[in-house]
Amino acid sequence: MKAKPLEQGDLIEGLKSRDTKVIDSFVDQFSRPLFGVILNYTKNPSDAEEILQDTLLRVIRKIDTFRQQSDIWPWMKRIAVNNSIMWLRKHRRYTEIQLDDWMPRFREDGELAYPIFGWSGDPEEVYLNRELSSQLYEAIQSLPFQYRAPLVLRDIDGYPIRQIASLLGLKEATTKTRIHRARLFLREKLARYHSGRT
Amino acid sequence: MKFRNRHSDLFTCEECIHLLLDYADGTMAPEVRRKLDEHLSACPPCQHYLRSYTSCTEMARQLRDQEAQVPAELQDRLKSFLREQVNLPWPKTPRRRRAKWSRRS
Ligand SMILES: [Zn+2]
Repeated sequence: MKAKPLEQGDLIEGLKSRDTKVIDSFVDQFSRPLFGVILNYTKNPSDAEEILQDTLLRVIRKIDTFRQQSDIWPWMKRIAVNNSIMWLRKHRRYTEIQLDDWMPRFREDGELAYPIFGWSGDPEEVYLNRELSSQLYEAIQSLPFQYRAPLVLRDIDGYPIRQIASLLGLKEATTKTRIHRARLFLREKLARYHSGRT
Repeated sequence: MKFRNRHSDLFTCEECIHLLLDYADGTMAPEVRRKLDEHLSACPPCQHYLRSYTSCTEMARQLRDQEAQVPAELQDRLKSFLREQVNLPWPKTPRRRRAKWSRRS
């Protein structure tokens, strides 16, 4: 049986003194939400496990720098996000994908060149939404790192463009272009999926 | 040839879609937004396109802070790894440049 979740104060004190019981409940309590954060950046299981392991260790080692007054989750999550980005930058896998094939096409006069497939987005369609959501996850994971990272930081984790640019070492304009292209790709993927043209 | 006054021209679909990020994120200058709205109100394909574009970002938002399964066997491995590692000295790797954004929030 799992122990009751620890109060934040007890957790922090326990981690500071490297109390093994507290370390165990820290893993019980936070490995699932942290793994959730990490799996948005990579679905590769061995990468994700390495990142999780390193994140947990870093949280413990950096616990002295945490300011007690605030909620610990955003602080912990930021370590997971930073770690995911650093790890994936270092272990970048080459993804063979041509985003151009998924961009909208226009006629010479600038009008959209083909019938636009989309979907209703009706919240009533629970099954369809769940289906689309897992398609969306797969589509995000199929993006090359240089598009996936800014997209996940922006659209899933909600960081401002300025912070994303600084974290990835990009210009803000480049960051925005990548997010936009990634969104166009995802939209087209889902639209084609939804209209059965995959 | 008459000089084209860009400001009175309607946006094309291509210009609209190029600007969708700022439109959807609400970071667009009001006068540009007005021109875009003007195009949208007359262009069902772009309306449709915008709806599915924003629907993607809304669905992505739902992936935030979702827990993931961690198999018991992995949890056990993590626990023994941490017990082993926490008391070892912090490896003396060269100090990483601090990301600017970590100062915020
Ligand atoms: Zn249009």
